[in-house]
Amino acid sequence: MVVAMLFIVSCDDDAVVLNNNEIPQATFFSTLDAAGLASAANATYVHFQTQGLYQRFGYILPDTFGDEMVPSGDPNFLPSYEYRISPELDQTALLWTQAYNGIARCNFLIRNEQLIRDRVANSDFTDADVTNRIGEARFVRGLFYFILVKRYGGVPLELEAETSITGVPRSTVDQVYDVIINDLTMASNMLFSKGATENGRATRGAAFGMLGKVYLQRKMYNEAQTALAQVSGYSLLSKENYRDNFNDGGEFNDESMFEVIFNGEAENNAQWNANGEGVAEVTFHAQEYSGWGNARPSQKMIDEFEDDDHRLADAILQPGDTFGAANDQIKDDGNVWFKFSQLYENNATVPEGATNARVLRYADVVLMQAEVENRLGNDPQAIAFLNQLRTRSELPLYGSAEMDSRGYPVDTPDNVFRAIVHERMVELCAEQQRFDDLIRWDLDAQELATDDSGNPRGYNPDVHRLMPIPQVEIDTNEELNSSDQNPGY
Amino acid sequence: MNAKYVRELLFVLIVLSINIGFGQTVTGEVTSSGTPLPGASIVVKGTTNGTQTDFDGRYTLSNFADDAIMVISYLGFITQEIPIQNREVIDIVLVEDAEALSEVVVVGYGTQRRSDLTTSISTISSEKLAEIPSTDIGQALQGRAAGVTVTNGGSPGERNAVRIRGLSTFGNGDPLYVVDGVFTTSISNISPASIKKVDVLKDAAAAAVYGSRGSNGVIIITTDKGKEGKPKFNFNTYTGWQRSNKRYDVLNTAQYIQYISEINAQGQVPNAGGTTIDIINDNPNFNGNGVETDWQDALFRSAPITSHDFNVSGGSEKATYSFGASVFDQDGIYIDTNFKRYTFNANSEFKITDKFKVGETFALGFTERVAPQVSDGREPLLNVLASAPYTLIRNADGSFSGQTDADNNNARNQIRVQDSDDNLSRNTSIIGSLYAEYELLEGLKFRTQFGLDAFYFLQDNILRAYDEGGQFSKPNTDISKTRANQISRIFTNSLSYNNTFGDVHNIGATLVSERQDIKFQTLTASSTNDVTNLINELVGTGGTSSLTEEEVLISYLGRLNYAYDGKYLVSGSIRRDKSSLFGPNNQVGWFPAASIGWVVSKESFLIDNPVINNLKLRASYGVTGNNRIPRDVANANVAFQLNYPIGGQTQLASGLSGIANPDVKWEEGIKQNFGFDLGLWNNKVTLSGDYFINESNDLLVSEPTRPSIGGGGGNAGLPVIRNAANIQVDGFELTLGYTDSEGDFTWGASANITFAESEVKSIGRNDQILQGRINPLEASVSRLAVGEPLYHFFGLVFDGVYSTEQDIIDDLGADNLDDFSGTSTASYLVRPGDVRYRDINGDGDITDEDRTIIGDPNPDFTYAINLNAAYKGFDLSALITGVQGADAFNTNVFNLQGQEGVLNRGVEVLDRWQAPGDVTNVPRFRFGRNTNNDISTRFVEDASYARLKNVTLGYSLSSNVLDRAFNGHLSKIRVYVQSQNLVTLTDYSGLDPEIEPFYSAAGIIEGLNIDRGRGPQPVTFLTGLQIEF
Repeated sequence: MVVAMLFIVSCDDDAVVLNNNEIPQATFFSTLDAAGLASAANATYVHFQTQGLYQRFGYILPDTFGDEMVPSGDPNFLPSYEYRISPELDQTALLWTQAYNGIARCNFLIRNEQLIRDRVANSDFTDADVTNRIGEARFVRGLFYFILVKRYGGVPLELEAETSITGVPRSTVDQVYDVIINDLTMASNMLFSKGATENGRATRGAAFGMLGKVYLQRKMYNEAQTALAQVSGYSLLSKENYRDNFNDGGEFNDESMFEVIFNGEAENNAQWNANGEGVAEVTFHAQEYSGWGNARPSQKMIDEFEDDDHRLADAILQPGDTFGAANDQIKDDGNVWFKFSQLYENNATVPEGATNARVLRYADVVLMQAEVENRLGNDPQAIAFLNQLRTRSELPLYGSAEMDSRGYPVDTPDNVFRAIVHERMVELCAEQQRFDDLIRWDLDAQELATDDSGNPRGYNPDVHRLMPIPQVEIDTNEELNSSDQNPGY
Repeated sequence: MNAKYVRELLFVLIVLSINIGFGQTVTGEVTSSGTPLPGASIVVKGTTNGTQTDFDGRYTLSNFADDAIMVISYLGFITQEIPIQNREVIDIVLVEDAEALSEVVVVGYGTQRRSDLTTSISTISSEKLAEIPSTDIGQALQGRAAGVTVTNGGSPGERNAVRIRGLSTFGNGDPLYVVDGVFTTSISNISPASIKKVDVLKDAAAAAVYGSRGSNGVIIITTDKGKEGKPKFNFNTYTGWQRSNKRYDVLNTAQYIQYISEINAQGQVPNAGGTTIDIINDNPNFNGNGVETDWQDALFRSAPITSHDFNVSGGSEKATYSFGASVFDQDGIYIDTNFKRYTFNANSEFKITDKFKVGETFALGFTERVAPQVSDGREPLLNVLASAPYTLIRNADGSFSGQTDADNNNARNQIRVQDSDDNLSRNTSIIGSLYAEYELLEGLKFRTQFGLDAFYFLQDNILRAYDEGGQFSKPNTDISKTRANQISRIFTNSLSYNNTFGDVHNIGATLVSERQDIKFQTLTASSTNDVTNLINELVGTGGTSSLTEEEVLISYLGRLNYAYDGKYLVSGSIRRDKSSLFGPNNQVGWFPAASIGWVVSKESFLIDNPVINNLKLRASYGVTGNNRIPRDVANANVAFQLNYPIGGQTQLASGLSGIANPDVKWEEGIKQNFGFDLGLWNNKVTLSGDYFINESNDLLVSEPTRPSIGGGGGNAGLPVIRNAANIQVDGFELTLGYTDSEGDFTWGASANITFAESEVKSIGRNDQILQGRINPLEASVSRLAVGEPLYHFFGLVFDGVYSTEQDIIDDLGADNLDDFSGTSTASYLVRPGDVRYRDINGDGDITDEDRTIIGDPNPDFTYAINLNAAYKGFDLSALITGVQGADAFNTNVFNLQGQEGVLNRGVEVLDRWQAPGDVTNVPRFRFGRNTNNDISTRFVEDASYARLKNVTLGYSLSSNVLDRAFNGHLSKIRVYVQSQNLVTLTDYSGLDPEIEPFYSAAGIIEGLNIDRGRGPQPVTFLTGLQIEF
């Protein structure tokens, strides 16, 4: 009896207690319902909203690397404009870390696909729902790797749900692109179309558009042509509604293909160190660009617009221009960006920006199609695509005498290409496209050499096409050492 | 036979009978420190003839020979031998034996006689504990045992840091507290008056029976249980005052105005980065309007302290009991600070049969604390030192005044802060047990105990709306409330056996099984009220969050002791702990220990030695653990802290939380101890020494991870907690005791000294860990690095102040001389009057690379000296504690001489550098955060000290007087006066060299001896009364 008493206290297995505040992975999947599945898919988008991505550096870095804008001196903007990005800089690590955080969220879904499908019979979602959710994760992972490969080159590939703290070496650029193309191809086959899913989620059209963009960046024109041709269900907005591409009210319009969502909600000051946790659904874009004027349009950018192009007035506020809720506020000093500024409808910017980042819109797809046709030697088709935009903006068409006289003849493939360069710059300004375009066109060395005043910016295409790998990654990843750093850093 | 013969025979018989003592009687009283000792044993030496003292300490002994010698002994006291020499009345004063050999030591899940002990355990009796009024047991232990160091927190009710044999973890280094077999965290809710004795388990062989919780040492508290006999009533009370007259010498109004005039002139220089001070700039004749505010005096006060406790105990053959209650109330020497404690204890035990007994222990505690208010990260002292002496605390209408924009001084009115902000915590705790014990066979006992340790904790933080009328105001009242509750259930079953075979073989064996279940729950809510600051409750919406954590520990223990003839001692134990805190790959830990002892004094060559009456050699080896792992680092779970606004509204998003470490386990301590106990001249002199080597392996440390894991970091990977660091602590401790008496005069001294040296052997994949970031300096002070002592200070070496431009050029080159043009490209720019740092790496520039180890806060040794004497009814005792060879980082030097913002400063700044050629160690005033205040030796001082912790003079009425005056109803009346912290000898320039550790927000020590401007410990004067009847 006594001996029994001595050992009755405990069954060894009792020394396992559940965490009351979280759910074990196995339980999460064995009890999964549609809401839980959606919440896991929601998590894949969360890191787009962070400081490293579209809350801050996701636009600052590509914008300042290019020639569309000039920073006023803020330390968040200067190092990238002056090509002084170092491995130790915060922005170097923020973009990297947040992209990988997002990739881990995607891997969590992608790698557990089978567990999720096993729940179909006993839960409130269908196989098609699972396919769509996995498609979302594939799309987002492809997009994160696309951002990483463009900014850092061949990066370590993380594709498993259970990551190990042991090191992972860098992959080659080709290997990373293989993953991206595979993810986006699968996503394009898995995702619902726009309208069949909530606004803001990845769609079939967005996947084809993004896949075309990747192929184009890789100069795989035939593949790009095929992918872009499958984009359907989108249209260009009218000239009158053009501003809906850059404001709060026009989010998810017919031209919009993928957006990162901000609704202005923030709790407990989480926005100041936005890392995905807590409620911080805000972007500093408007406040930084248009309120504080930390990055103003370059003169080169303003000069690129034709005199009668409404897009100048829609994109840039110049002294004397009016803006605001009643359009009665008068801009009194310096040029600032009007796009994404909140100032179409408001008299002032606020830091709690609620304007979605437009990652992909149909105008870009049309311009990419023009570029693809030009590269494939089909200039008439290329010109036709270009003129879709000219028609929308009620501007003279390419091929017309008027455009010839403005210096944009389209009589040779090179001239068609020049027209594409021009049209992309004015249509997509301040939308984080220009720097990638210049690299694809090998025009970066020429265009980024000097600033508005003709002073050299110190751009070296052999170095500055890529950012350095963050020092913190090299220090903590056993598979990396300083010799793995990008050349020139 | 004739009559004469018969008479002669009778006479002989009578004489004989007188000679051999039949019919002779001696009576008297046995006391100690004026207190009667009931139950003391009095035996005629060499006979079995003896008696015991009664409840009043009185005895009557008869039937002894003329030359008889009385042997008077009592547990815990030095045995005395007194020749009777035909006296009829002999009063005996027994002297306490600091480490009495007959003493019973609580060894954890059992007891052992000290003479059989082979491990290192210190015992502190209730008499010692009662000497110093203390808020908790930690404070009461200060100076009482070798190897136990206690650092008092500054304000009433503040946590005291208790460390046993140095720090051997980077995590929670608190010892394990066990109250009557119940593990508890509510240590400050226990009234020291309810404690019978405290045993401190110091080496691993002693602590290993507590397995994965033993590494930091174990403090076992035994509360008063009551003894068979008529009820004994105890009433103790004291009241007194606490104050501190120590102040910093800051500028007065005239000096301050002169000082800011000079700063203002500096602020007028273009491009020098300064600002002007309007109050002077606009009115160069400003004279302060005759105001001379002593801000320090407004913060400090004389504060009362009172304590009352009452206890009744007694029992019959069948049952014993002890009931007690106490009230303690201590104001802090800062205004608006206070600590109160109310306790209630009830212990009882019943013998159902000769072999079966049941009992219970119960301790209820309630504490309430009003802590000093820290405003905008500033300690109270910082604000009062910095406030302009010409500003008023209150306006004529009673409303608060403050610094205005024109003053350009951003000190808050700390008197207002104390008034408008509240930092209130309340804690209710229960520590209790129910037990039953049954003797199965001779020497074989089974015991089962159910223990409960529970607390309910309330924290209210209220930041009320205010308006100082100057720069500072706050429109809203922010209230945050936390309610936390923990219930820990402990179920312990043990089987113990003790027997002696063949007179010489003593065997003791213990088997234990134990299970502990802990459940912790907390709820935090907050709200903002912009209408009124008069409501202290949550109103309207705000954030809420809750958390529940559980923990299970399942343990088995076996222990075996063997003693041969009390001479050769061997002991071994092993414990197995399985805990939910450990990762799935390391769920079970084994903790073995072994120890041996040799009582040399029982060998034939020493047994009759006139000098050495006791000599024992001991050695032990054991493995212990520290299981204070943050809960749930082992598993990555799905959490819901993410949000994304999709489909028109912000929705929950779920994903894996953090980076899991399934290998996480206890920290392991491998400890060796070699010791001796020596008693000379019948224990008149005792000496104990212990040498120890403590290796702590697998210490938990945060290691950086690669960000590409995607674990959720911001600009770096989230750290993962791994068992990767090692520390070694070596040291030795000595305890010396001396007691003697002559007639009514008894005196004694005991002293202990502890040397402990710690060295970091590994910190995992970190190169160094910089922590202990102090707010006003915005930098980390404390560092961990391989091969160095724990928490050493790390920074630049201060080498005076640059006198001239040429000095800078000679030292660093012209590029580092700031010409105010703003065009220099050098990162390190200085002017004459700035601090000269030593260019350690000799690269001609001052950078982070020039930092070096600039101080060691770990003492060379700590010591305590306890002196006591008694004569008739008088008793006198004194306790001196000291720390030698510890450096302190004194942030007050920054507060007083930092000179980077417009704040009041110490008078030292009158000697600051002002013009080229000035030679001084006080740099110039320089606007803004600048290199003059980089972490450097400028702030490091020796904080060695010796402190008269306690001096007490008491008087007890003699029993004769008591008998006459109270008709025998009272057995003791003692009155005493006492002072604490009366004298402190130190060269340290701060207010108090006894500096509490630097805790992180999570309560983990990040640094030692970092003086952040906390208040000093007060000097206390008390008068007290103790009554027993």
